[in-house]
Amino acid sequence: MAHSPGLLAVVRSEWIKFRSVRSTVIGTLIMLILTIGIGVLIGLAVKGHLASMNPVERASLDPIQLATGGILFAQFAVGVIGALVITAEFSSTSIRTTLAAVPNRLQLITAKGIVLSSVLFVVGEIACFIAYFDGALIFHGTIAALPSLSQGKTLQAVVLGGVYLTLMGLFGFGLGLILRQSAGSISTYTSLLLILPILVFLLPSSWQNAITRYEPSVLGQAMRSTTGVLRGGTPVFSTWASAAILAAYCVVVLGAGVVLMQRRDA
Amino acid sequence: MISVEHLTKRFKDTVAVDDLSFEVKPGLITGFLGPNGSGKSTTMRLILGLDQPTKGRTLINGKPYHALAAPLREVGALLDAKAVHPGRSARNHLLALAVSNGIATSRVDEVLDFVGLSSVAKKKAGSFSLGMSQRLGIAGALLGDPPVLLFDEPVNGLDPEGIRWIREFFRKLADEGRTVLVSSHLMSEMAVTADQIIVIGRGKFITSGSVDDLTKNAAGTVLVRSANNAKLGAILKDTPANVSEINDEGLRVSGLTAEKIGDLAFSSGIALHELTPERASLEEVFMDLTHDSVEYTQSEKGTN
Repeated sequence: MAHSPGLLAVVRSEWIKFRSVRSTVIGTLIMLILTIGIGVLIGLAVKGHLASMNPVERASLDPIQLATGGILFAQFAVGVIGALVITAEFSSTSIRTTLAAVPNRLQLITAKGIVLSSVLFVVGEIACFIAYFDGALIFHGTIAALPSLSQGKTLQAVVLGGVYLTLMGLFGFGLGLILRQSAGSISTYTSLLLILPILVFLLPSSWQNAITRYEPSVLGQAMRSTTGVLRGGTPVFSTWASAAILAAYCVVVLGAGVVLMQRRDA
Repeated sequence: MISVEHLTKRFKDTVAVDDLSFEVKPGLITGFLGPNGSGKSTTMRLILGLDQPTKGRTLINGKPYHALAAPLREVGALLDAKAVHPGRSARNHLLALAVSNGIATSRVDEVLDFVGLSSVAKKKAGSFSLGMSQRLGIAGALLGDPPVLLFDEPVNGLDPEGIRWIREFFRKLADEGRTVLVSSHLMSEMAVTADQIIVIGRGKFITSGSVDDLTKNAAGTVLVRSANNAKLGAILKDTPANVSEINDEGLRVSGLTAEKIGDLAFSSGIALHELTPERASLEEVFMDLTHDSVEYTQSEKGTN
C-alpha cells in the first residue's frame, strides 16, 4: 500500500485551494492596496501639515510609522482572509470533503497555517517595502525624511510590518477555527480591533495606560516604532516584547482552535 | 470491506445510531435502507471519521479511517453533493483533492471525462445543478480508484436518465469487485439497485439479506375465494390465522399456507374458487419493518 503523501502534499493541496477562490485572492490584493495606498494618503496629508507643527509634535514624528500606517487598515483584510481559509469550508460544508481526504486534522490545520502565513508574509513584506519607498519619496527633503534602510531600526521596523500582518492573519485563522462561521469570526476580529479600544477609552486613565499596550494594533505600532514612543505618548512595550505578546495571542487562539477541531464532529 | 462494530452515536439527547453492527462485502451493491432520520448519514459520517463515535468502531479493510495512509485511494465517498466550495472550479476542486492524496493530476481529467463534466470543468461548482453536483461528487469519489465506495442518497435530484446511468455505474463498480454501499430511504430504488440490503430504523439494526430473502421471510398472504366465504372465514378464525374480508368477494389470510387453507376447505366441504399466495412487495416489507421506527408519524405531525 502507498505510504502517506504527508504534510507537503497537503500544503500543495491547500495552496491550490487558496489561489483558486476569488475571496482569498481579492482579500490579499486588498491588503496590498490598503497598505500602500493608505500609506501614500497619510504621507501626503501629514506632509501638508509639517510646516505648522509645534516642536512637541515634530519631536514625536515617526516617519516609518507614517509610511506604513496603511497597516492599520490592511489588518482588517488579513483577519478576514485568515478566517475565511477555514470558515468558508464550514459554510459550504466542503470541510467534510476535505477531512475525508485528510483525516489528520492537525496536519490539515498546519498545512492551512503554512499556506496562509507564507502568502501573507510575502505579500505583506512586498506591501511594507513599497510603502516605505513611497514614504521616502513623499517626505524626501522634509523634516520627516525617512531614514535609509541601513539606518538604526528602519529595516527592522519595515520587516516587522509584514510580520504583524502575518500574525494578525493567523489570529483571524484561529478565530475561524474556534467559531467556524465567517460572519461570527470576522465580527469578533473587527470588534477586538475597533470596539475594545473604545471600551478601554472609557476606563480611568491609569487603567487605560495599563491596558492599551496590550491591544493588537498598539502592539503592531510598537513593533514598527523606531522611536520607542507612539504619537499621543501612549506607553508601549518594547519592539520584541510586543512581537512576543502578539505571537502569544496567536498561539492561544490557534491552540484552542486545534483542540476544538480535534474534538468536534465535522 | 466495511465493518461496523457496535457503533453508537449519541447527540445531546438523541441516539442517532444505536449499537449498530454490520459488514459490507466486496463485489456486491449493498443498499443501506431506513426512513429519513434513521441514522444512515450519521453512520456514513462515522465510517469516514468525520464524527467521533460514542461507542464502537468502524473499519475499512480492517483499519480505522484515520489510519489509512491515503484515504482517497482506499475509500471514495459521496455524502453531500453540495460539499464543495461554490467559488472554486470543478477542476481545481478535484485537483486539490488529488494532490492531497498523492494522486496523479492526470487522473482529474480522466474522472471529469468519465462523469461527463469535461466541458464545464473550469466553471464554478456553485453554478452547477444538483445533477451536475452529484456527478462532480462521483468524480471525487473515483479519483483514487478506491476499492470501497460509499454513496449517501445518490439518486436525489437526478433525472430518470441520470438514475439509470448511476445504477449501471454501481453495477459496474460491484462487478469490478469493489465494495459498494448505497444509502436510500426508498425501498423501490434499492429493490432494483441492490444485491444485499441492510435495514435500519431509529439507529438500530432491523434486518439484512438479499432482496429475495427479505420478501421470502416476510409474512405473505393468501387470497381465497370460495362458494361460502362466510363459513370458511369462521372456520379459519379458529386457527392462528389472520383473516380479513375483501368486499364480500373473498378473504385475505395471513399466517397460514395455501396448502393448509385448501385442506381445511376440503375437509369442511367448501368448494374453493381461488387460492392465490400473495408475496409481500419489498415496499410492504420495508413499511412493516420500519413502522415502529419512523421518526415522525402522520398523526404526530397532525396534532400540532
